[in-house]
Amino acid sequence: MTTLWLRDLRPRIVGIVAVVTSIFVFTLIAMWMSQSMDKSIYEALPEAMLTMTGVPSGASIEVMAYSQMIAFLGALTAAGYAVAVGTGVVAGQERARLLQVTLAQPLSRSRVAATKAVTLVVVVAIISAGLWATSLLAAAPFDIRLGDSHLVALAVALGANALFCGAVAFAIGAATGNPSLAGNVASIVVVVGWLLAGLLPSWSKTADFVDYIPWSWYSKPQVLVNGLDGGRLALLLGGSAVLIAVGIACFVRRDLTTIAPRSLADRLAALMPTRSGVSRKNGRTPSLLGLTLSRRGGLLVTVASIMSGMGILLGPMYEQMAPQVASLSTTMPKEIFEMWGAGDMSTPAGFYWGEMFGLLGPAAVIALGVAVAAGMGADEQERRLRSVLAVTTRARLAAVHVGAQVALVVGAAAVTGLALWCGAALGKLDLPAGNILGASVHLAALGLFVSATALLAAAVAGSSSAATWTGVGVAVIGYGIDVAVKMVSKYADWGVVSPFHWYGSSQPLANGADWAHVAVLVAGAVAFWAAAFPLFQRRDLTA
Amino acid sequence: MKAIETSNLVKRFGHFTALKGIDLEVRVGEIFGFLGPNGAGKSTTIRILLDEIRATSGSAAILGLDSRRDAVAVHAQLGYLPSDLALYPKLTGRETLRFLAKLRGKADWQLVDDLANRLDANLDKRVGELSSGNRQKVGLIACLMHRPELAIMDEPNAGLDPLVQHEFHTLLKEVAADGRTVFLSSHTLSEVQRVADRVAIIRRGELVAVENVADLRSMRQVELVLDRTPDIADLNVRGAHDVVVQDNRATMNFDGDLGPLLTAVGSHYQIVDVSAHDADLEDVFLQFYEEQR
Repeated sequence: MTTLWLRDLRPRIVGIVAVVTSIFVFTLIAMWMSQSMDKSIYEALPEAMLTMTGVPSGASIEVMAYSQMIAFLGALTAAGYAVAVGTGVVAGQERARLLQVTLAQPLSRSRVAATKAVTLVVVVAIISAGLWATSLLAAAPFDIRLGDSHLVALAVALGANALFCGAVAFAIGAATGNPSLAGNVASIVVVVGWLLAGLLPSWSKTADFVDYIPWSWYSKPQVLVNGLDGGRLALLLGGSAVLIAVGIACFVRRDLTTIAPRSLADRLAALMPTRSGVSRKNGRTPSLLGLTLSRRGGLLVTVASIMSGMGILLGPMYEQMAPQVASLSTTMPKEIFEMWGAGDMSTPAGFYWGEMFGLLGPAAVIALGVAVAAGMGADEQERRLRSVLAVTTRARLAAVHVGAQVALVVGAAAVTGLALWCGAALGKLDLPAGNILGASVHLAALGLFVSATALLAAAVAGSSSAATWTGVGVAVIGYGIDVAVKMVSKYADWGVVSPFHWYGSSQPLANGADWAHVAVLVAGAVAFWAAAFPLFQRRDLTA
Repeated sequence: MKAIETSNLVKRFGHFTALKGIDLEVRVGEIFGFLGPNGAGKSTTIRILLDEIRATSGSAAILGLDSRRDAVAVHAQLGYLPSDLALYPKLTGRETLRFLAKLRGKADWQLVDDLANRLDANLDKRVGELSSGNRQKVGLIACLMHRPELAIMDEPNAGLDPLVQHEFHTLLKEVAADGRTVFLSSHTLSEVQRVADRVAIIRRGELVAVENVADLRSMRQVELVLDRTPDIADLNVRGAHDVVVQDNRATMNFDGDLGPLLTAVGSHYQIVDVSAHDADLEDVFLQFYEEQR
């Protein structure tokens, strides 16, 4: 079976290297920049408070960067990648009809599914080992005391958490053969789990519920500082084993999915205009834009559900949590909050920004916009584009994808703003509607900027992965730069190179929209789109 | 032992019944054509034989083994070419074959080279860069490279040019001559007509006919020119189907010897001219559907 899991592993090596390398670079930059940081405010903190910020006993202040870059960003990235692998190995291959060829060989279904699970475990193990090596290598060039930092334990816990998230996707994908369902549900487990693991402990009435959130089994023990928590580690590993076993058991019993990918003929039939504008069977003929948007319907529903739920819930929660949050804000340095994309958490605007607009909102709008660009690249790779281009022009096709990006990104930002407005009203928070609108506009502008870079990559390279990695790369590097320059005032001027500077530095939720900042982001997006059109029109299609 | 034997095979998807009790027997060493329009149940039958999906009721045996319970043993003796063949796009044809051979545990590399030469297959290019016809050649080689006892092929000639199709048909005949079996699902009636020994026709989940191709082809199209416009009732002779009268000309499909037909018609009319030719499978196929509609 080595043949099979190696076959599944090989195409993922690039992704594994990208995850580990990007986290390594961020950690290295954070370490380097932290050399110039004013450490006096941290050194004045009592040890108990220091451990809360992620600095283990006896360790240099710079080790705090591990909490941000490896324990947080690394864990989130590893979990996200594990979800992608868990989704792809069974459900993804089944949808691509590759699994049928494998299963026509003399291999039992249980054996094939178990081998796919091994792929997931191996990917997670390599990433964990890579992040452990990263944590050592990033410290090597600097004079840094690691003290009681539990780096191996962190890698193990982080890996167990990623495995659990990947196992959720694997189980659902293996049980249903539906990659969208598997990916969306597992993403919700990651994102909502991460949010709730941070939020629930802030309010005494919900603090006990945090133990039911899988992400807290990883985050609550603060493994870097305290070492492994055997019980919670067992929950993660045991849960993963159960999920994988359930997935395999269901896979063995069910029919493989019968629905083939929509044929070119069907796709074209849907696009071909009819004399009356009405198709024979389905009423109105869907437009190309409608078709493009409908392909992202599942992701839009997931994103809208998460943002709506969070936006509405946070208002009443803040009302209850305000005293604890205010107390925390006065005792912790503001740089700590800024590292997490938050500002002054003692105000409703700061709290909402930190919880919804710091990371979650950007991730939501960027995911939608990048997915559209990746879809265009995938259509070209899988030769669907040739048929579509038989009935339309490249310029129109590119314009449709720009339109889809605008519609989805602006729509998601609008839903976020609306949910926030509802949540603020429910919690009776002092958040002016104009400011909420301003923050939503900033969010949409950031989403459009990053989405446009992904579309440019799809237009130039004709590849789904080029679009995805470009969009994700711009977002992650931009976020990393924004966080890093906030930690060291000496490099503050460099912040302008990051789209996140133009997105959040004016604190639009507290102060209203900064239209100049919005204009910078929108102008950047328009420039990328404008470059994409001629580049897409002039080159040969790749497939 | 039969190569394939299904008994009262039923498959339901929710309220929709895709197969309504299929009884099928494919003999060892024959090329068996499986014909039917889109949605008739051809692929559903094949997917049950391959254990991709499970029958709601009934049973399917391949080479004497249960298609579900003994799936691994069955697949060891099976070659399969699915319709809408999907392969790893970044592997070359040769890498694809090596990968599948490793999973299977055996391949005859001399045969691979021979098949590649005969089908003019490029095995050194990435599958994702190949045209659909060239990709199909890789699939055909993968299906046959381990000398399977039974090859199940779903629309195998998709994208193949006429020269390669001809070579492919020769290959199929060689497989059958070797005592092995080919189960050929196809829309291309001429292909089935050219290579198959027997053919089954499936329609709306039911098997409407299983015939020797030679017998089917014994049905002829007959055209009679008479001295006047005939009454259609006078042409209702045993073996005559689809009688069409236009002025003094009558056309029909006729199954049987022409003598009784000519005698019966000649007793009422003077026969001015007569022509008859073998029906091709397409005519027979269409006729089956017309009758069932």
